[in-house]
Amino acid sequence: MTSASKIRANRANARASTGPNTAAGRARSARNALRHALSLPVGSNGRVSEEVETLVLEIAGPDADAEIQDLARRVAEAQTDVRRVRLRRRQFLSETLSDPYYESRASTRNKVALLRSLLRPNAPDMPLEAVLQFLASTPEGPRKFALVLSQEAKTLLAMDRYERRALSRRKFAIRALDEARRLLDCKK
Amino acid sequence: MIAAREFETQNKSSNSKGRSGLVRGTVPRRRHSASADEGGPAGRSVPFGPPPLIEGEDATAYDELLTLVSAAVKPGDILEDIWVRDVVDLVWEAFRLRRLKANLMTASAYSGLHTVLEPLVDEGLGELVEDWARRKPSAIKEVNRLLASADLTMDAVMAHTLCENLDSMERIDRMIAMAEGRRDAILREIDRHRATLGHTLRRTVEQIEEGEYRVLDTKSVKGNNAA
Repeated sequence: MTSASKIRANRANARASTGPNTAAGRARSARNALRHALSLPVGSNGRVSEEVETLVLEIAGPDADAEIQDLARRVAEAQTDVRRVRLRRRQFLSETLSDPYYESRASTRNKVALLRSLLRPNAPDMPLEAVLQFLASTPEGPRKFALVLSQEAKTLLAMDRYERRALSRRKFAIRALDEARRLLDCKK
Repeated sequence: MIAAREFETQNKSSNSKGRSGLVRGTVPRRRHSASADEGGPAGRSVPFGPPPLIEGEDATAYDELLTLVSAAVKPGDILEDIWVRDVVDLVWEAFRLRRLKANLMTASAYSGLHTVLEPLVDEGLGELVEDWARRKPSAIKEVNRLLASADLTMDAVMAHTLCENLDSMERIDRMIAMAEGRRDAILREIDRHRATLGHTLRRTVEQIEEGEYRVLDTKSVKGNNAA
């Protein structure tokens, strides 16, 4: 059980945490939700909400009452969110994997360091072919895939969180729908 | 076997093909545009979206997997259709990650070999390892001879390769475990949903049977009265 003093301290701390104060900071944080656009409600996109309504009809059936339709809408919205997140992740992975210049940050640093050393007056004597080969080298195949998973872990984890939440909402929405249908069936 | 398929060089993700609808209770044979964006064709239900294929993956193998799972589960309603697709996507993801692990080990083996042979070779190690990676028979023979001379096998090479890629391997393992966990959770939800469905079906059958008894009773009463 949380003590009263702890609750008071938490509230005082929360009041102090008011987010960014400057206009620029507030403008930047206002764009946070648009970064992946995955936290935006499905109703904000006309085409997507049309899909939701079609899905509601499929889930609820043509003769469903208002309660079943509402519950089916919750399922449809969550399913649309799940789909949006997966699509975004697939696009992100495809774009990153097809980028021919994608490489590790460490490798980029090494290449820049080499170029800097070559531009110095006492540049090391290296065969031009080896330098060009090193500069043009990028990871390929499974090494590139593993690098993407490692280097883009933060973005992928963020998408994973969105998916987990949407899946959880869908699960409970389906359970509620099943329960409502069962009760309706018992009443008949 | 689908699980054993490697990433194929040709991308068969049917770029120009459209989507075909799903007839419930049948095996879905969907074709999706690889470049499809978030929405689908207007006026059509698109609860599934395009398959989760990335460059180089075989759309036919994905369709085969979807067919197999759908045939086994026999989805009874749209919710089960959604779950089946989820399970297939998660199984596909786990396959992809397992392939990645195996390919990563193979692609990095030359690095492990370099580490193992370092104390055994005085000169030309880099060249020997490069030739071995290119699968030159003379280099393979020489590597085998060197390993045997030190009482080593390729297991030592793979052990060093694993050590060098341990972070990646762990990350991939975590992702596989996550996909499998989600798959199992969905299978449990299908079980729970089918139990509810089973309850509804039982009630419906009972009501139909009661109705039939009533009809029979009425008929028998009428028959008795007539007699």
